[in-house]
Amino acid sequence: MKKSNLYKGSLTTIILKLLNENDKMYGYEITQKVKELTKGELKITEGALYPSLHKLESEGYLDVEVLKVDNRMRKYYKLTETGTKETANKLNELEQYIATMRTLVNPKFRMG
Amino acid sequence: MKLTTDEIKQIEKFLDVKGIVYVDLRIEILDHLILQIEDEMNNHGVDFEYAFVQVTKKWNSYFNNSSSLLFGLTFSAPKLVIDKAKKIYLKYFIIYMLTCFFLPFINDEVEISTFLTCVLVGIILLFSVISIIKFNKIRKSSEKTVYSFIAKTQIWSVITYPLIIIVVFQGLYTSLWLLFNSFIFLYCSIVFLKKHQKIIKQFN
Repeated sequence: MKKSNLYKGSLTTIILKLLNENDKMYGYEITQKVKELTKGELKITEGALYPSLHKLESEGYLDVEVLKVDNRMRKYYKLTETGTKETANKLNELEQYIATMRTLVNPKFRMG
Repeated sequence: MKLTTDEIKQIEKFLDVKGIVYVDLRIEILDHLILQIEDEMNNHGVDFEYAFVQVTKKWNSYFNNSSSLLFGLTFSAPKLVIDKAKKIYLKYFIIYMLTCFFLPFINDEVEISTFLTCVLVGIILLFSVISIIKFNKIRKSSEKTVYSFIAKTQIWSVITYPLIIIVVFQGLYTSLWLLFNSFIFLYCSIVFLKKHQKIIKQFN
């Protein structure tokens, strides 16, 4: 992931948000979607993506579905019910963080 | 451009060499590598061999052998496997460690009758034997998952339980502590076997 220190803490939120919008996704698809949405500004490395996906899975936020595609198995991740609730919490946290950072970086900007 | 069967076999061979043999990880990493190599070939007009080297270079550090105090330093596996195993097992290990804080009660031990001692030792041994059977079933399974790695490391902890009972078994608190810990192992072995079988079923 580029600029890793700034983005690291937001990776799980990014994954949850994408899965919330796309029903189910597989690992490589997530990396490509992030690259496409950020026009290449943000690149999730393989070493950061899978540990995050496995953490979310072990916490019960993600469920796994295996489908046969192109004559091989593909592992899809999708949100569980608790995962959907967690997505809303995480997005809320991230928005508050961004607002706080804005007030710090630009003191003229005030939180609503 | 899609990869040929021989090219996919070459990637699978690479994963075998790197020790990515656990199906729950192997399937998704194989799929990721195939798609990444295909994109590299299509976007940069390079051949398979070049794309393979470029892509696997990015993964190498995650395939390096690693170990963790959680499972014992004698057990090593690729970093991605260790990381996933840690995420699964850590919560059980924390509960186990928290129970160790009850050990100081050993100074205020309450003596128990021989009959109760025999009953408790019997239950602990029964829990341990069931745990060993279940962990061994995961370990010996022909298809491996990350749970197979955890079972391989934790079976040794359960095997030492009869020895701990002989050395530490002194009274009520110690026996309750041992009973609780043997229950944690029993619970882990049942849950892990269930999850292991679910993964195998999913991928078959």
